[in-house]
Amino acid sequence: MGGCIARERPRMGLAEWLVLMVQSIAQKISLAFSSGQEDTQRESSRAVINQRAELILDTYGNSILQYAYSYLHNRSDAEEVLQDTLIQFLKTAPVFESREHEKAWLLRVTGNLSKNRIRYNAVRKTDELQEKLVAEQREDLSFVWDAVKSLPETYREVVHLFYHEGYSTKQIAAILGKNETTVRSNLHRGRAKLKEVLKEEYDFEETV
Amino acid sequence: MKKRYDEIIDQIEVTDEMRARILHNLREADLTKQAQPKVVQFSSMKKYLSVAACFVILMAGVLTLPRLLGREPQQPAEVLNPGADIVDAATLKELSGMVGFEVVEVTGLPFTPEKESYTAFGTDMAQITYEGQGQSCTFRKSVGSEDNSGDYNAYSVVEEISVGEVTATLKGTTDGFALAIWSDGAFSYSLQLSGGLTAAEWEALIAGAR
Repeated sequence: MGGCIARERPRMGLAEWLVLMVQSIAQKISLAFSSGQEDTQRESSRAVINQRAELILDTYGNSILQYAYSYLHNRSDAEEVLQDTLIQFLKTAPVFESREHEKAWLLRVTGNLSKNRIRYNAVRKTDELQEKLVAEQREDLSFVWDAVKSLPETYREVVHLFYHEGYSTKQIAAILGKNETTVRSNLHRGRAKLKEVLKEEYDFEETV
Repeated sequence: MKKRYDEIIDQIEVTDEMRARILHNLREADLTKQAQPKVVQFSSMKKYLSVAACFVILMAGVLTLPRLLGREPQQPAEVLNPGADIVDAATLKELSGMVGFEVVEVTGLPFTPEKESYTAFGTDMAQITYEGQGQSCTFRKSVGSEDNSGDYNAYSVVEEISVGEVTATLKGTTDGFALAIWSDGAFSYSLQLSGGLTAAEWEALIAGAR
């Protein structure tokens, strides 16, 4: 599991993140006191919001987009979920204890928005990733992607968060709002299904 | 495998165009609605005018209500409410109770269901989802006669078939039809399968999904 967590991703500096958090809180407090400088404050607040949106997008954009794609299998839908997630983030302006909490919150919102989209609209048939793998004649990857796609949603989300994002089952339980036992069970069942489909091609790490 | 899954999913990334598009949309978006609800202070004159307007509306209601009561009840609106509460039901009976009309299990599915889930979209629409043997089926029933499938894919093959007294529209590809939509006048129905079926196979399936 430890090996799974070590992933290279673009990150903002801790100092930069703290400065932005302080700026954001300061803006909220200052806006609570209405005065004749409302326009200036609004512009200033908007500038901070825009700056924050860019940092969130650069830091977590790929993770959010990939997680949404794992549900929706369509780039346009995943992009809309990414945008909606950022809007939720900027509207509610939550304050977190750490960057880990921040990312977990974003992924939780992403999962919920993706599931809502699936429940009301059918998943589009256009899977750009599948088309790309076929065009590149990557049958080995196409085979694995088909197998993961065929998993029920409850197994697929756990497999993605565990293997791709490197979260522990406890962290996944917190993100999905489920018991850790349920998450472990879904992970176990997801692996069993993948093993059944992929046979000798199966080489997931059975760390939990 | 983990590495191969990473290799696959890492191909999905935020491109420069996507980044620019999203940031542009975020700049245009109104982010203040929830954070800062607008509070409008009414002057005394406006308060009195509001009370007077309410009184006029009340009187209009009192005068017109007896006429309205004498009318035929109106047909329920056919437009589904996208904002309706989406609630899961434990059983089919509970689902029927939640939407206010009878919903029956779909029979003759091309696979053996291992899991069924029931969902009510407010009182507009009922949905049953079947999963099993790597396949899935979504059945929807709603008040009215509009397409309730939520499937906006552009299908290359579209065909109409008659099943009993209804005409169903089948949509799919040359490999088979994946979606069927029909209405009996009072309710509209849709059935969506993960795999394709022939028109003859759909006929039997639609007959068992009323």
